Amino acid sequence: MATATAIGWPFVGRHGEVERVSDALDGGLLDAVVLTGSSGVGKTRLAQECLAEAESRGHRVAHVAATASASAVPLSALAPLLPVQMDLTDPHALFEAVRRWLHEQASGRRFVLAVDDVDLLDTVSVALLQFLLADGSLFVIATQRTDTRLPDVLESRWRSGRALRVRLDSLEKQSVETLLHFALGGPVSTAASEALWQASRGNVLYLRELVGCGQRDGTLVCADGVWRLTGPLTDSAGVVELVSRRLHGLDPQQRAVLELLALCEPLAVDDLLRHTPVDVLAELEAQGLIQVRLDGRRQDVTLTHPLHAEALQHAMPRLRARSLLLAQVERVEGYGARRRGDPLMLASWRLDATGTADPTLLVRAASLARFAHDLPRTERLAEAALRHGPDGLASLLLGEALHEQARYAEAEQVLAEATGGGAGPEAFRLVLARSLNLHHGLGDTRAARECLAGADGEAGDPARVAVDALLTGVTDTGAALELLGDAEPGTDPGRVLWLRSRATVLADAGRLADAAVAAERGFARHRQLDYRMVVSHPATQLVVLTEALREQGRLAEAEETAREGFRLAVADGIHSLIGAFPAQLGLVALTRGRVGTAERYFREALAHLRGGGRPPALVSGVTGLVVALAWRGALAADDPLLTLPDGELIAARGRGWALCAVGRQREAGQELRAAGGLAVGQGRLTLAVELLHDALRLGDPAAARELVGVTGVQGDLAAARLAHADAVLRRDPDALAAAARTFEQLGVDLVAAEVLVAAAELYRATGTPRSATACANQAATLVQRCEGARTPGLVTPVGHSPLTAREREVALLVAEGYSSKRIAAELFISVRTVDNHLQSIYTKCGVKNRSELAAVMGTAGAVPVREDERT
Amino acid sequence: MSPEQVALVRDSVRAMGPRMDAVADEFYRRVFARDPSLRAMFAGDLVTQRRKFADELQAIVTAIPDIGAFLDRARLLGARHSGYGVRTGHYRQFRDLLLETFAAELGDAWTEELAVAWHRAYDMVAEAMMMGVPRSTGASFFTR
Repeated sequence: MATATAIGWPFVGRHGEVERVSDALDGGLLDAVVLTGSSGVGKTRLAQECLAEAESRGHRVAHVAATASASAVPLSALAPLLPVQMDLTDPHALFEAVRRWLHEQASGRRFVLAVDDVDLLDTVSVALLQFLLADGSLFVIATQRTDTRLPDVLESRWRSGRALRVRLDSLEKQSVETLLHFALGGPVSTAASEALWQASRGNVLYLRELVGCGQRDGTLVCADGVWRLTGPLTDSAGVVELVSRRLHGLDPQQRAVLELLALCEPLAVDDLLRHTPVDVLAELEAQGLIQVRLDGRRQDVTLTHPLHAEALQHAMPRLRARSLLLAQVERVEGYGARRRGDPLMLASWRLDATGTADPTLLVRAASLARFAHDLPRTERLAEAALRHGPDGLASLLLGEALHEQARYAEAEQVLAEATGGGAGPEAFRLVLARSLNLHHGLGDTRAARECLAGADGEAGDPARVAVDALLTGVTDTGAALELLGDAEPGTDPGRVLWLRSRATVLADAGRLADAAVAAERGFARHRQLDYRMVVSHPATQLVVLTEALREQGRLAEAEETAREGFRLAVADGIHSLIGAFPAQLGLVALTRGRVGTAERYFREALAHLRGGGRPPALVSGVTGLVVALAWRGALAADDPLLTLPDGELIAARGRGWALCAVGRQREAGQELRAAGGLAVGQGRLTLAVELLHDALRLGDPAAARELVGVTGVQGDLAAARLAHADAVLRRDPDALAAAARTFEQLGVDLVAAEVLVAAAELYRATGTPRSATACANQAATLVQRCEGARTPGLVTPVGHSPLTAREREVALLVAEGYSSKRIAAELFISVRTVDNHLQSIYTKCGVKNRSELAAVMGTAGAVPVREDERT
Repeated sequence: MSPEQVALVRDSVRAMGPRMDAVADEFYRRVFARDPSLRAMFAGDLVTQRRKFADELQAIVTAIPDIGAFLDRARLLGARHSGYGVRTGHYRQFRDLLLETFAAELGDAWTEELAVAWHRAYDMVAEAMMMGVPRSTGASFFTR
């Protein structure tokens, strides 16, 4: 043993960890272990030892590694688990086939899969793991470098106690000494082991490199059975530097093997031996650069450490990689590509080498990536397929991946080119996708219509009807609803699209409760749908649902829905939706009158929405921001935001409030009322009520009359708006106060405050100062929740002097039944001061004594503190 | 281990040689006092157990300079122990008790250096035992 080599360094200092993993496997309560630690600390080795232990206990095992290569075809990392013949077009069947195969293999014991660098695993592979974990047929041992992100499936298992996390630190000094003793096969001088410990700090990979380096350059030698240093260790270059220096010193044949492995590992031993002499492999093994893993009946060669692969890939010229990959492709095809996962590996290699591969396979792989919402990969694979010539499905996949990444103009380019390509099985779906991109992405409804006309042959198809209705509803909700009819289509994906269109049009038409039902149903159906072509992401349904809930005054539910939608969109990276939800949350905040919160949400929304295209969501985001700023009195006359698009109805609200902000309140009211009238004409009653009510709030005299005429909008919010208009027309302060209460109960605080101010004014005019003060006090309480809102409706025109803050305090305590003495003690003021305040309060409120004051304040005091105010 | 440590350990085993049975007795007394349930782990009678312990300790310490023989011996020993249900936690526990036993036995001769040397020696034996039946370590796939 004196000529110690680096072959298979012994496994030292980690047996406790192996025991923990084995216990986890045996216990049955856990289904995954995550080994976390920095690079070179020994995670992969530990995983390997755990697998060996599991195998010795009768488990079937496999070891795979995820890589950072963007070209990796989905699932190729999990090749050892995949059936030889597989149908990539149907992910569920594929997953099911893997599950069945694992069951057959496992014979009652869980299959144990080690995954190196699990954070680099592609989304489809992660989805497959999730499926198998949920089924209970798999136990995963994952390694993860420190500071990388764990896939959600493992993170959530860890949080719920179903996964164990083992942090690996560097080896301790004693373990390093023991390891050196074993690895070198003899005692090591104190000075040498100290120097190696100091340099490596217990990082095993680094230690190995240092030892190998020392042996080669003669600084670490064995004399009289003891290992000593003859001089200082190689100047402490980092481990990466050491690795590349070492790889540099290899002869061309050795290097070729390592490079091939860096690109294509794992490779079967037999495969390698076909073109590489055995002594080359033996030498590489002796140097600790490659290792053989036994994977069932298969013997695979891999590089010993991922860092080696990285260093080799970095140093490899493009052309060299290309020729190595192509040679490997030829060899594997030469023996018939019969092994599990071979087709995927071939596609990955070809893609890496030439930028493309077998187009049929690429399109299938792209569908798979799209199924898992892996949009960048979908894009790359579909693009590669298109390089072989036109392909409807590939264009559809590419166009939709671009659309969902909010790259609408690029999507239009791809889809326009493909729809021009004539008939074919995909032609119809291409037309639909393009129409939707034009409408939702580029805001060009007219072009969307023209495009849809290209699919007249499919007039009766529910999907076409759905898109047609969506476009029609922009200017005529009645006609749109007629197109849709009441009969829900029996099959998906047409049904999902139909439900979404119907919810959208119903919401616009004012049938908000019906819209919410349709959207909820659409969301539920959509989530069960594997096929995501044309219908996009399920969260699209939640945009409509949020809107329908908000306009009914169901604000808390609306917020909850928007948050859920945002979570889904972010999780799947659907950029076309990510901006829509903060905009929805902004609208809810605006409805509540929380102007600061609304501004923050709208700014966030715009940060997501600006860039590609001009989706309607962007217009509504800008509009919302303008309104929020105007309500806070923070909109300057020269604000660049004020270049709102003309002619678009949803922007009218912004245009109106912007006029108001620069002091043109009368024109503002007219603008809003005119837009409201237009909306009525188009059957967009929800928007009409909102615009007319805004006009009413600005004091537009005709708005109230028009508003009471717009009946048929469902929900409490619209009812309160109409009641408000009715009270204004009748100049009835009691009715105004009642309307204010309804607004307040819905959480629409700013409007409630404005209505109370108006009520107070009427009460004062009609000689009921007590009620006037009560209303004014209540309005003051509500305004405090509105984060600095300063709308015209809050301004009291004539000499009304509301209670000062101190007076309010005193009045409230009186209403509670406190004596002057007690109030004085409570507020740290004299009794005399309390009485002075009280006199002033009586005068302002028009009351004569404590009980009358209590009655007045009682109204105000009855304003309950709401849930969201308590926290 | 450094060569000096190997020598220190070997010399102390020689010094304790004649009294090794008593040392073994004392070690097991301490083990069972700490955790009586461990008695079940050692099926045979204690006299035989004590004998085996003394022999094994001397043999394995003597083998340290010949790493091949040492590893083979330790692995066999380890495979037997894992059959007894010994876990990694036990190795740590036994180490502390064994070193306490030696300290009591050697009195003033138990120096700081000797303690460190024994600590290393024990760890080396324990690690080798835990490696158990050879798996991938040391074997070459291509040159066997």
